[in-house]
Amino acid sequence: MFVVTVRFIIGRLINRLITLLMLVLFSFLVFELIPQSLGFKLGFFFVGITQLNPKTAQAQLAAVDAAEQAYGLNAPIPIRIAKFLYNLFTLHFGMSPTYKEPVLTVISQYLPNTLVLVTVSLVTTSVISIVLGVVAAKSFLKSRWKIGDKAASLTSIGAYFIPAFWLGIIMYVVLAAQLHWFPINLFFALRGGGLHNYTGVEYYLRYLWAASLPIILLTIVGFGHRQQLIRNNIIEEYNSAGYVMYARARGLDESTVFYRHAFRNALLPWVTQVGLDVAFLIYGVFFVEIIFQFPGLGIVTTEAATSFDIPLLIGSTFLFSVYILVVLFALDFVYALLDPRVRLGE
Amino acid sequence: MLVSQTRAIGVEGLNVEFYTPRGALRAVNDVSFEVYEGESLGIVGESGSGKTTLASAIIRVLPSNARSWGRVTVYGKDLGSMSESQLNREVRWRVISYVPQASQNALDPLYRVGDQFVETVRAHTDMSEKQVLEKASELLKHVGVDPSKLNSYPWELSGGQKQRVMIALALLLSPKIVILDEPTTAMDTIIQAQILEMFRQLKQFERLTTIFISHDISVIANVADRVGVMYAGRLVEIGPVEDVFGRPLHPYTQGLLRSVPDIRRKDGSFGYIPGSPPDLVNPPSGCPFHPRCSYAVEICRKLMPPMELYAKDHYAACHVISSRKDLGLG
Repeated sequence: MFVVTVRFIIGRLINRLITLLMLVLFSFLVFELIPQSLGFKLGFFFVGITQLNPKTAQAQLAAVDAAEQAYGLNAPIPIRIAKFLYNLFTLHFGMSPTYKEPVLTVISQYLPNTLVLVTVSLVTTSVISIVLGVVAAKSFLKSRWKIGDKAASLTSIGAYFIPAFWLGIIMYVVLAAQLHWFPINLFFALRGGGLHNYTGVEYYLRYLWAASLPIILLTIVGFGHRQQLIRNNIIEEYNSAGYVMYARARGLDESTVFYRHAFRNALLPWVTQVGLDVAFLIYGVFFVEIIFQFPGLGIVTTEAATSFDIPLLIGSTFLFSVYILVVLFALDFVYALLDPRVRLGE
Repeated sequence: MLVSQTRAIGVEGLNVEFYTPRGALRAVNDVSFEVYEGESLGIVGESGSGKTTLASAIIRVLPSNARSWGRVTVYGKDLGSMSESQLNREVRWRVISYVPQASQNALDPLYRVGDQFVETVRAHTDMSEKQVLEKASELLKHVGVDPSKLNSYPWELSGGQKQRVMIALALLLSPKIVILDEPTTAMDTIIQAQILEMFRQLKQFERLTTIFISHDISVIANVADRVGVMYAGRLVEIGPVEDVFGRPLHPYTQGLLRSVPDIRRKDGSFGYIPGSPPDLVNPPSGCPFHPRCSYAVEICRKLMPPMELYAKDHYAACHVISSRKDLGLG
C-alpha cells in the first residue's frame, strides 16, 4: 500500500515536471526561435528595443552584437535550449532592460503580492463554493420550496455572470475613491501617502486592508461555477448513486449518508475544477492588479509585454507556470486522499 | 411446507410514480401482496417491470423525484407513518435488510469493504470495530469470500464477490427479512447453488423471510415458496411456485415461461412474446398487456382486470382466464 502511494506521488511529480519542461520549451519557441526566424536580432531584447539614431547607430548595433555574443544567442539551437533550461531552472533570468536590474530582483519584489491575491482568493472561492453548494443541494433535496437552493444558486450564477472588469471599476470608484473604506492603492495603505511608516502587526493589517478589495473581486467572480458544479454533483450523487441508496437502506443516519457518501463522491470533479481555475485566476489577477493599483507581477508582466522586456517576460512566465504546477501537484495529493482509486492506480 | 401465519410484510395498494421530463411514470401500480414469516416470495418479470422500484419502495429509499403511496407494514407496523429516523432505528437492517443488484454499484468505491461493515453496525449497535470485523469475517466465509477482502476496496472485487459481500452485509445484524434483488446474476452456477442452499438453511433454522427478485425463473423455482409475476408495474399473477410455473394462468406468465430456453427442447426453438413492454408514461388503456396478448378481447382494452382467485392461493388479473377451456379450470 505504502509503496503504491509513493509510486503515485513520484509519478505525478514526474508528470508535472514534464509539463513544466514543455512550457519552458514553448517559451523558448515564442521568445527566441520565432523572432529569430523572422529575422529579428535577439540582442535587442537584452539591450532594450529603441529607435536607431543615425548618429549612434553604429554604437547601438555594436552593443546588440555584444549582447548576442554575451548571451550566446548565435550558438547552435540545442546548446541554446540546454542553456535556456539551465538558466530558468537555476533562476538566472538575466537583466531587465527596462528596470536596469536583475529580473529576479524585480520579480521577487512583486511576486509575493500576486501570490497573496491568487492564493487567498483560491481558498475563499473554494470555501464559499462548497458552503453554498452544500446549502443549495441540501435545500434542493430536503426542503419543499427549495428557497435555500434558489437563493444560493441565484447568488452564485449572478456573481459568475457579473462582468468582472465593470464590477472592479465600480468597487474601486465607490468603495475606495469615494467612500474611502479601502485605500486607493497599496502604497497609500502602507505609507499613508509617504507620511507614515507602519511596522509590525499594523503593517500586515494595512496590507490586508489594501489586498481585500482585489481579493473580494476575484472571489465574487470566481466561486459561482464551482458552487453550481458541487451542487449539481451532490444532487446527482444523492439521487442516483447506488451507494447512496444502499447507505440509506442500511439505516445510516442522514448526515453520514449525505457527507460520507454523497458529498465526498461529489467533491472529486470539483477538485479537478479547482486546478482549472488556478490558470484563470492568473489571468484575472492581471487586470485586478491594474484596477486596484496593487503592484504585483500582473502589472509588471503587462508592462513588460508592452515594452518588449523579454527577459522579464520569460522570467515571469516561468514563475507563473511553476506556481500553477505546484498548485496542481498539491491538488493531486488532495485528490489521492479523497479517492483511493487514484492513489492505488486503478 | 410449514409457513406460520405471522405476516412479516404486508403491501397494500402500493404505487410509485417518478417525475420525468416526459411526465409522470408509474413504475409500480397498485401492487398488493403479503409475505409470511419464514416464507420466501419470488418476484419475476422483465427488466423495467418495476421489480427493483418495488423493493426500494418497501424500504423507502426512493430517489427524490419519486412519490409513493399505499401501505407497507412490517410485522404489523405501518412504515408510512414512521419518520425517517424511526425507520433507521427500528426497521432498516435490524428487521429488513436489502441486497441490491451488483450492477448498481451499491458499495461506495471510496471506502474499504470492512469500513462499510463497520459503519453499518455502528449505525445500529455499539459493537466494537473488532467484534464487527470478526463477525463480518465469519459471514464472508459462509458466502465463500476470503475474509481478507475486508481490506479491499469494492472496485478490487469481481461482480460475484461484490454480490456475496452484500449478502454477508445483509445478514450482519441477523434481520428477520431480507429483500434480494438479482442476488445471483454475477455468480457462476456452483456458487449460486451454495448461496441458494445457504438461504434455504436460514429459512429452515432461523425462520428468515425473504423476497427474491429475479428475472431468472430457475432461481425463483429453486428457492421460492410463492411467486409473483410483474408486468408494467403491476402484479399480474401470484401463487404457489409450483402452480404458477406448472399451470400458469396469465397469458403473460405463459409467454414468460415459454421464453425460457429449455435444454430438453430438441429443435432449440423457444417462444417469445411479440411486441415490447409498454411506455409507462403513456400506458395502454385497460390491461397493460393487451397490445401483446393473443387472447385479448374488447373488454381488455377498456378495463383493468381485478386480481381474482382461481385455485388455492393462486391469483391472477386477467379477463379471459375463465373463458379459456384449455386451462382446465373447474
